[in-house]
Amino acid sequence: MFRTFWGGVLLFVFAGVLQSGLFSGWRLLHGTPDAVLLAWAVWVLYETRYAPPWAWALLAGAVIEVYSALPVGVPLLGYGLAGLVAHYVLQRIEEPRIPLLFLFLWIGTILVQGSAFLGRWLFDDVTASAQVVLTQIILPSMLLNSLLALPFYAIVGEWADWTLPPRELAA
Amino acid sequence: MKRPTLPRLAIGLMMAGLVLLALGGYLTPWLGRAVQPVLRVQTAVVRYARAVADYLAAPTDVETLRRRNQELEAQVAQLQTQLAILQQQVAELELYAALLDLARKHPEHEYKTAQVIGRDPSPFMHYVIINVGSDDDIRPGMPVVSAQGLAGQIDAVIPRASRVRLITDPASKVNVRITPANVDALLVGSVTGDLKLQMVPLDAKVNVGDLVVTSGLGGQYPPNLLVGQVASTQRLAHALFQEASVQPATDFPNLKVVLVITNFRPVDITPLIPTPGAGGP
Repeated sequence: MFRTFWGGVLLFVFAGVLQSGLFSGWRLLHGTPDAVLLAWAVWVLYETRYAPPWAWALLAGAVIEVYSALPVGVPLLGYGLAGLVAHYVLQRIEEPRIPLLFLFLWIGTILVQGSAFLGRWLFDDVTASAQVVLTQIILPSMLLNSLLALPFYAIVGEWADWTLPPRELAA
Repeated sequence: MKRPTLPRLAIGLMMAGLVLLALGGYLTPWLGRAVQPVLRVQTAVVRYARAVADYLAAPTDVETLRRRNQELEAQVAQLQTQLAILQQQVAELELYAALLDLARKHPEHEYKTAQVIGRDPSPFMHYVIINVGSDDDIRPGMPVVSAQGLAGQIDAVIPRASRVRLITDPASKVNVRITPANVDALLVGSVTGDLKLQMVPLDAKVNVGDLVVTSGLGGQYPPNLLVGQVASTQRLAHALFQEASVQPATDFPNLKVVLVITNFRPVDITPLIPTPGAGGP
């Protein structure tokens, strides 16, 4: 259990470092990939026994909370909502993993980016047209996340194989 | 003494005649023709002998060539690495030279050089993280400039790092002056990173290419820092002000090194701004 917890923590922290140092510079229009979301979406496909997806999502949101200047609580809200959706889905469907991964990524991107924009609108008086936000930021981010989904699935899957106890992998 | 017989005398005379003919050059064409087959045979023998010798010596040569090739390839790789490092150093030197140039243009400021080590994870936030913090006497509100012009303002500080809000952030507002029109305006960012000039009077003659510099009004930034150039202007019917878009001088996507102006303390004039309902004495 200890190893599972720290496996998740290290994964999200490393994903946060990658996101801030590397992936935030990869822009398609004005969207960027989200390494933390990608890591979380793969991780919850492997690990749901130690903690539910929403708990791992809150941990991922906490990492973003540290790195980002978003208003306090906004990353937790976005990731937490994505976690709740994943929790609901995984209670009903567990396989196949790849379509679930893409589902979590698409819904997660909408919820995380949507809550970020909502937070900026509420707390910073930032305004922008919904069309611009959707076409220039959210959809390009979704596409970038989809392009990186399989490489992350391979890498985080290896990490999960190495970190998680065998009985959890059997699931 | 034995006297020469007739045949011997004849042979002797023939030999002497041949020698005389050879000395006179009369036998040269005949000799050439006679020697030619011998020369051909000799050439063929030498050629085949050399081929056999080369064949026998070939393994040694191939091994030598292979070793030499490996040495040269290693040397090429090493030189390419050195070249890449030198090119990087030249680029850094050019960058630092540009920063030094900027520092010389504004000698009234004190600067702290910093490297950009991260960006905000959210695409809605135009913030960067730099590698200097409160240990380096960096304080919130200090202006940050790049080699080209204004970049932003320190937003948050920890001991070894700081977060900079770029002027492209939608919550950023900078008081600027447009030159040569000499008109004050408000520069605001946007979620897409575009810069817009607001509050530009309708009668102001603003043209594409006009320079935009900080005005110093509001106390948030020092005056006369280059921000960018007017890219387009827009006058809407019945609008109270005209608007303009600005091409920033700073290359924000490739921002790597910045200068923090450490001797400027921003002034918070919020308490001085009259609020509706606040009565005087």
